[in-house]
Amino acid sequence: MDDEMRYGEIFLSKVLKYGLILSLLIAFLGGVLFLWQHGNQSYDFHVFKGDLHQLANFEDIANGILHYRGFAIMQLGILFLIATPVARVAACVFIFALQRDYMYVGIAGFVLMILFYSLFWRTF
Amino acid sequence: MIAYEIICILFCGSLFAGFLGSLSGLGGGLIIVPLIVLGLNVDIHYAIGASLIAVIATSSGASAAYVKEGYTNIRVGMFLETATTIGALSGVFIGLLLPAYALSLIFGFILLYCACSSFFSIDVDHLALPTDKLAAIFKLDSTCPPNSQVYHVQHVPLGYAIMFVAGALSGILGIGSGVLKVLALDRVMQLPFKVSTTTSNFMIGVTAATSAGLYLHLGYIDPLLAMPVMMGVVVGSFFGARLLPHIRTKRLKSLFGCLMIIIAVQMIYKSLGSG
Repeated sequence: MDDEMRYGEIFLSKVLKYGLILSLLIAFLGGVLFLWQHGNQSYDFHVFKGDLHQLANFEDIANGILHYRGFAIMQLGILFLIATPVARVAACVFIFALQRDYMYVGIAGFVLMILFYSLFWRTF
Repeated sequence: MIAYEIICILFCGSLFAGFLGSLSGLGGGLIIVPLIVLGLNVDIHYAIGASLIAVIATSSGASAAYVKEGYTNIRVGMFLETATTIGALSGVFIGLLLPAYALSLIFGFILLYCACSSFFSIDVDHLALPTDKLAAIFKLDSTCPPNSQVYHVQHVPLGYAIMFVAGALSGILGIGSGVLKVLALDRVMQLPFKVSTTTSNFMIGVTAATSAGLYLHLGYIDPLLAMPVMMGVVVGSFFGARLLPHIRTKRLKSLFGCLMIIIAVQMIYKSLGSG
């Protein structure tokens, strides 16, 4: 059983590593595109504007990407980054299920549910 | 400020933060927020959003390096994550109710605490402990390299409670709460030190992702700030980890602790001035 866990752990770290590399690449491409489009624009972050700023939901991000907006592509990279730990927890549920450790399938499943709650908050 | 400038300043600052964070083992989140708030005079809410992204990135990056050593206790991590994630959700909603100066003030004091705790790190061996009832029910006990030594997890309820607080602080302030997590794992639950640090790192990413999801929907995460911060921190901590075996960490730790105390005092001063 320990061997299985060890194998699972190495698999989990790969999920994180490639997730990280992928999100960095996307964010970098978005950044280059953004600088090319809006590099000389001025920004003021002194007062928090919250929801007024776009890209706070998946629809806006998808729309932005379809219009090749660097801003939206950077946000996609960030979204991927947030998703990597989620993928790791999902993989944990799977590994615990393989080990027939149903108590931990439940525990990891619960953590996954909380993550989904936060990731899809106000989306549906 | 012009977009070019913002990105350049943030990238360089985060590079430095990630480098120091991985050398000292304290992570980057504690430096990123003051860097953005004090350095660029940006509203702390944006800083928290960007910092959460940096925390996830460093956690993911470090895991890849840690896993080869085989110290992470995934069961302990997953079990305690039920506390940190719920704590993180509560923290985000608590943070929404607090004004910016209150956030800076809390941040300053937490930073001060972490800075001071970095001066008193004692490496204790926790071996030959009795088996705890709850730890047995949740199958938390495990072995650790090099000799597959068995360790028994202690004081589960108290550790769980501290993890809830750590999660809440992570949600409120956008930090990984690594210091508090290691405190709970190492001092309270008495896991071996290496197991504590790697398991804490495993948990930090998941906790930060919980807060980050909500912050994204609230509009706190602005890619213009978050993108350069995430790039800088990853590159910085990569080089920090490479350099780590070649330097004496003790002197560096105290130097870093002093730097953090200065930053903490500045954060507190700033919040009092604007509050």
